[in-house]
Amino acid sequence: MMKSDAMCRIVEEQISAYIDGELPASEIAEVQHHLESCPACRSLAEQERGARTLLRARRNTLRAPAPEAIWQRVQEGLDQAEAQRRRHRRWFAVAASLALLAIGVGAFYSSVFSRPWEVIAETVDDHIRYALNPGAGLDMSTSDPESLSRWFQGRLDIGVKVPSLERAGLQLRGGRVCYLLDRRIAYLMYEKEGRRYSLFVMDQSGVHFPRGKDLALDGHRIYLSSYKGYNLAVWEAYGLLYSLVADQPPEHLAQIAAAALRS
Amino acid sequence: MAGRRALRERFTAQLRQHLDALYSTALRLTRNPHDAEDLLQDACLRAYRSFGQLEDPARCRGWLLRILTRTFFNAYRQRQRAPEALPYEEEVHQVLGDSPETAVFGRLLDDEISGALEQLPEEFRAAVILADLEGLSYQEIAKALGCPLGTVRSRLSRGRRMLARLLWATARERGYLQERRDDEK
Repeated sequence: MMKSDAMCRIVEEQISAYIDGELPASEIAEVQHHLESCPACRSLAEQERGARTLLRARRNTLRAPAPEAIWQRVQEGLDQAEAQRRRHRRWFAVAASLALLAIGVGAFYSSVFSRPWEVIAETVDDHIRYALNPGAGLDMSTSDPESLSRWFQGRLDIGVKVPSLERAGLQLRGGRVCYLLDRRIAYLMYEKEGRRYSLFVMDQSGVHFPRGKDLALDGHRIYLSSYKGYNLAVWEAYGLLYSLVADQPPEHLAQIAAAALRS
Repeated sequence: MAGRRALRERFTAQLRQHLDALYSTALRLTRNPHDAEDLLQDACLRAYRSFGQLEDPARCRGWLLRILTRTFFNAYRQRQRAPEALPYEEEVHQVLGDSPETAVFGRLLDDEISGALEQLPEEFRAAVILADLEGLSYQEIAKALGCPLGTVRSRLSRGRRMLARLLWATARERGYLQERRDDEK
């Protein structure tokens, strides 16, 4: 028989699931039994049930309807995204047909159109969001790659080794966790002469590696692209995908990528 | 392109159906209409980009709310950032009042409930909103918050209990407890 206060702690974590009917059948009896014999936990359950019942009863009046104007605004946003996508595709189509001429491989075509667009668009948008924000929204400010690598442990499913880019003249500023597509990824911020560089590190599985204009370095391919006026270098190393974004010339980004790959 | 147009139409139809839920959640998360509109706009664009990958349209609601919530924690939280260690002072099995919750809480006005809800730390607030106002399953909430099921359970539990305490405090402040005693005389 477990001591009562140990049991209280366990039950405390299960009360919500018990009330919501989300508890596995095998655990229900135990919680029920404990609640019957422990007034303190019963009171917690009552508080929780009271708040839950109230919110659910008032659900309709507590939820605010969307203002008319927002619908229009969203539709306009979608139109713009669609136009941008078409421009981007056209650019890719030209690049791809040139590549087709040069290489003559049919498989190439499908990979070009298999949504390289998302990683590029999402990382550029996040670069704009974080790097151009004076407060930067970093969860961890540090110039030490080692301590930032340690900070990411347990916060992400992947092990991130934060590269030192001092050789390329970049000073680490810090990092944060962000979401890309459906995964949690690492966001690293570097700075050089007052300019900010964003480096995103993510699990490569399921993310299509964009192909097109690329160059090879030490057996790694570095892919260069641009979106919304920002340049990107995307590369892959040991199962991780890296995307570097900045308003810097592509050659400079390629140099930094090389420094990262060698760090 | 025809395929593209059909995709847009399907997306628009889904969005129309869930727009109120999305806006309402955005408003609860950001706590102001201006940020709520930006967040909604931002989340809709993100959703549209990956809409082609959504396999089961029946799950669209949870999926849209998930993108909205993630966009919030990703980008909007920093505008109103709270310290990383969440403030959670343990109430240690305290009995808050002698009257049944439902009777007292029933007297609260919607605005008073909203006010209490807005005081919850955002991770807890998000869990409570998604569960009790939007009716998502624990599985869907776990995906939206990017955390394990166990964390959903504890955030919901603590969130609801914090809310209960705030509701009691509001009820006491507004004299709803007093009033009740008068009624009984």
